[in-house]
Amino acid sequence: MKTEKIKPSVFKDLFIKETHLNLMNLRFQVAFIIIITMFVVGTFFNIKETIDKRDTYNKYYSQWLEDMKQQAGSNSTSLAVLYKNFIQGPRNNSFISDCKERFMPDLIVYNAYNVYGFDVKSSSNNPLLNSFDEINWSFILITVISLLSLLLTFDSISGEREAHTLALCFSNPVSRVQVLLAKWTSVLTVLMATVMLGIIISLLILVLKGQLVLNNNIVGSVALFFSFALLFTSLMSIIGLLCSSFSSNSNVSLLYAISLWLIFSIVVPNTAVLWADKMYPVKYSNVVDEEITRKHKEIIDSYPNGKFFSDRSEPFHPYHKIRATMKMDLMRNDKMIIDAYIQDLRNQFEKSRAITNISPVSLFGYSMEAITGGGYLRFQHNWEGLHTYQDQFLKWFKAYDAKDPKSPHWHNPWDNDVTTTTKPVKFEEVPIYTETLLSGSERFTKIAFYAGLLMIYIFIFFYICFIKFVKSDVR
Amino acid sequence: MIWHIAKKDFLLNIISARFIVGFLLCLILVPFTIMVGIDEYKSQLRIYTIDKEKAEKEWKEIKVYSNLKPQIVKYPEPLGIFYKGINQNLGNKVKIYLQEYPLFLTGHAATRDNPLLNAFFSLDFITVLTIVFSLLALVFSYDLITREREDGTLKLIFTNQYSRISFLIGKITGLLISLIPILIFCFLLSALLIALSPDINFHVTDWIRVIVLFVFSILYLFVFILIGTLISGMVKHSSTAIVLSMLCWIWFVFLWPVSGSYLSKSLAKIDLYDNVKNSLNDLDKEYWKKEGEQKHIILKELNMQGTWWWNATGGEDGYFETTGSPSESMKYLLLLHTWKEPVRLSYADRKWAIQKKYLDGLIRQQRMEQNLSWLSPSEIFGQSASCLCRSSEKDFLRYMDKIRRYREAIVAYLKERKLFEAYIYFTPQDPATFVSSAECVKGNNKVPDHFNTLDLKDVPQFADQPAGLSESLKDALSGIAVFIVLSVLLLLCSILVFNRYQLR
Repeated sequence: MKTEKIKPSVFKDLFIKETHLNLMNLRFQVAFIIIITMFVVGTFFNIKETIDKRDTYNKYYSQWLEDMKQQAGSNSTSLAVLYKNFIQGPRNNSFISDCKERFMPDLIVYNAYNVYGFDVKSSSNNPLLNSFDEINWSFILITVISLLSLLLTFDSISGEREAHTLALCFSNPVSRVQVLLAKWTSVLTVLMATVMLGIIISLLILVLKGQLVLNNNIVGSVALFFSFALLFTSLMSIIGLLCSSFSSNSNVSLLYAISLWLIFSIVVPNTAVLWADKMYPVKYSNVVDEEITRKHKEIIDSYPNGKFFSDRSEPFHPYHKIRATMKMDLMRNDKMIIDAYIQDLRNQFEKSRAITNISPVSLFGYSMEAITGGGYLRFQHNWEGLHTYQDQFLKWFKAYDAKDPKSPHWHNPWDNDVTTTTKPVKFEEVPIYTETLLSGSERFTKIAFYAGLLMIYIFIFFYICFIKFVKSDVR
Repeated sequence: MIWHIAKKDFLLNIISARFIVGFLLCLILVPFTIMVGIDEYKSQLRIYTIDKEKAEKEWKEIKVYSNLKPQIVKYPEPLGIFYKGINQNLGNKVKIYLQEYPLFLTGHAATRDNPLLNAFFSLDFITVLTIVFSLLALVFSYDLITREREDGTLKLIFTNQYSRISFLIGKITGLLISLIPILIFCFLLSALLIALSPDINFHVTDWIRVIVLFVFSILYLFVFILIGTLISGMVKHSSTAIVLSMLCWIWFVFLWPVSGSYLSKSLAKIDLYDNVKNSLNDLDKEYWKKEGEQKHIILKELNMQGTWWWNATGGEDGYFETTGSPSESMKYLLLLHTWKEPVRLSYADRKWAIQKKYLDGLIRQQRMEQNLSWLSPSEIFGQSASCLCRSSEKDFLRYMDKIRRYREAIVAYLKERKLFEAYIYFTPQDPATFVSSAECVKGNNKVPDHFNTLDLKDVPQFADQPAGLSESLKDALSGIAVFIVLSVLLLLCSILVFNRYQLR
């Protein structure tokens, strides 16, 4: 008996049928309302938060500029040695993702001689309130869309098996692959169409409220976000289908699906700190402080008398040179210890983060950093940028100091009396650090890496789901 | 009859696949969560030990009263392993200054030693319980009624002389006693991991709190079972019931808490802390200006052109210590401190008015969040847990009130002994050994190498009395009451709905 060739339109029919079922389904209709509401509400909240943050930052930055101008106008050595704080300002694409910048270091301390360290600026947030994620596009994808993907797919196979419609379906000349693909693509289509609508509404609100200008950068970020949203939703949907294929009871397959979601969203990120401490331990900060104090004492004791001498009436007194040399030695020693410690901290963080790449939820979060240029990538970029700037600032200052015949030229990283030139300088001549966006190539490498990983996960989960579905008994 | 149905459902549930999956889920989540919690607690304990030793060392080295700045280091809350609450937003220590009242704790005990790791959030035991047990309750209860109807057994049951109410209560009871063993397992496993940790000491009262927390958890479970039951009674098909149950779960556990927090910030706005700091800085500038003027007045009074010091050191909050300095400078300092310390105290009171207004704003915003949280059983449970685990805002505010009262005790101590007007406030040197400026220049100021530290046994000590169990229960009373009222309402609604339910 000749078997009838499977018509290509079978997949199309299945797809249309599944999409129609999904659209008519109560769960999708409620999910649609939740997603659009979250996009709208989240955008309004984000606008308010961004305006507040921008106002605070602008006030801080104006004051900072004023202080710098004052220092430059009175004593250029003060300008060079007084500690300055670089604080990361709010991003104009934070509506896509905040990249956990609220919790990460956003303050870097520097002067012309060194970049000293970083810290988390004390927040204006109310400490009496519970901490929550901000409602932005990334949050909606990670929390709402991922759960809704599972909700739409957990009983795609097990539910049909329970209702005995799966057996009926395969009594027709329909391949299992086509059924699986139709289910997957239909869920993806309805969810991504909803996400697209949410994105458009959100962008409209932002543009109409005057909070956003649609330039190439923003359009590119939005396009990349949508692409990653597609990958992430595909992955969560196939996980739902996989769980559905593993069980004949839809409530058990729901539990499988939610369990996997909890493992990816809670267990893996939750244990990152544990792995950091156990697998990549670093020295405690108090141990580093004690080491610095001990070395300070050794260095100070090794210098002769007059190391703390200070007499403004005799700037060229040789004791001032001893003091300046000692302070430079102290700073170099601190720099060596602290730079090594900070490198250890960064290694610990990066390696712990690498472990969490097994969670698609974490992967999606990291891809948002690459797309928006925020989070750890931004901090890293500014940290390295400030080191480059500090070299330039010091070169400029040394050149400026060399021009002053009244200066003893005894460079001292911390003191601003009887060391180097005290002449004022025009503020316009002073190099100022300005934050720049990460380069396209840096971000592209990361984006390609995360996209590649997500595709590998999709392939693996699809393959397992496919094998399971093909071999399962549909009755 | 109720017991028969309950027993039957219990036996069916414990051999069901969803029970096994639920149990395995808890088996994976709970140990990880507790281990992370224990690790974080040990880190807080280490920081506490370092800070406490440093504070005690500094205390023993005080030679002058202007350096009397007691540092209070808060012992980390062991119950924070179960629920961190707002403690994760706060520091662990505070210093008592004359120039201002303490508003918040400082220090980075709540953040990690590696600030980069703050990007990784860590959930505590109660938060995981909130997520998992609400899920389990809904997954087990969504088809409490619909499954029986779809299987055709519902109409068969009611061919007998059973009342609907007893059937419903039997089903709910059976479900509750099916899930309680998983809850008991979670708590026992947590208790075991904590008991096996050598660095963690739980007192008897702490274990009693854990038991009370367990009882609250049962109440929480019960509420979600009733929500699932109500949904099951309102729809005809299990597929619809599970969807509605899951949407409720997503809303109560994830979306409403975030939305509530945002709404509370929008409805109860607070001033930016930077603005508060600017106001405080303005008062400081006003004070510094007055101090500058007073210095000129004193110099004029003493007929001096300026001052100089032989050995001098200083620090924050007006700490100044000198030895071997000329008697004229010492006299100058005495007059200056007699004037300035009471003035600084009065400025501290003015600053406190600004800080208190800010704090009231924060409390108002927090109360708004609390009121909005009544709409989510997960949030109510979290708040009750924070009261029991001493990590609520009430515990924090009580603690800070005690610290501010302690500051007043220190100020009263300094005032009663007229220490602002004494040389010992800024020099350990015996006033009888002061020499004039001319003698100092000649090198006739014989300064000993070593001075004795102050005997501070009579200085008031800060004694922290954490909230007792009855106080914590009183704080959690509103949450308990809401849960009980909610349970009764949900049960009544479920009974009402089921009484009208189509059995066929």
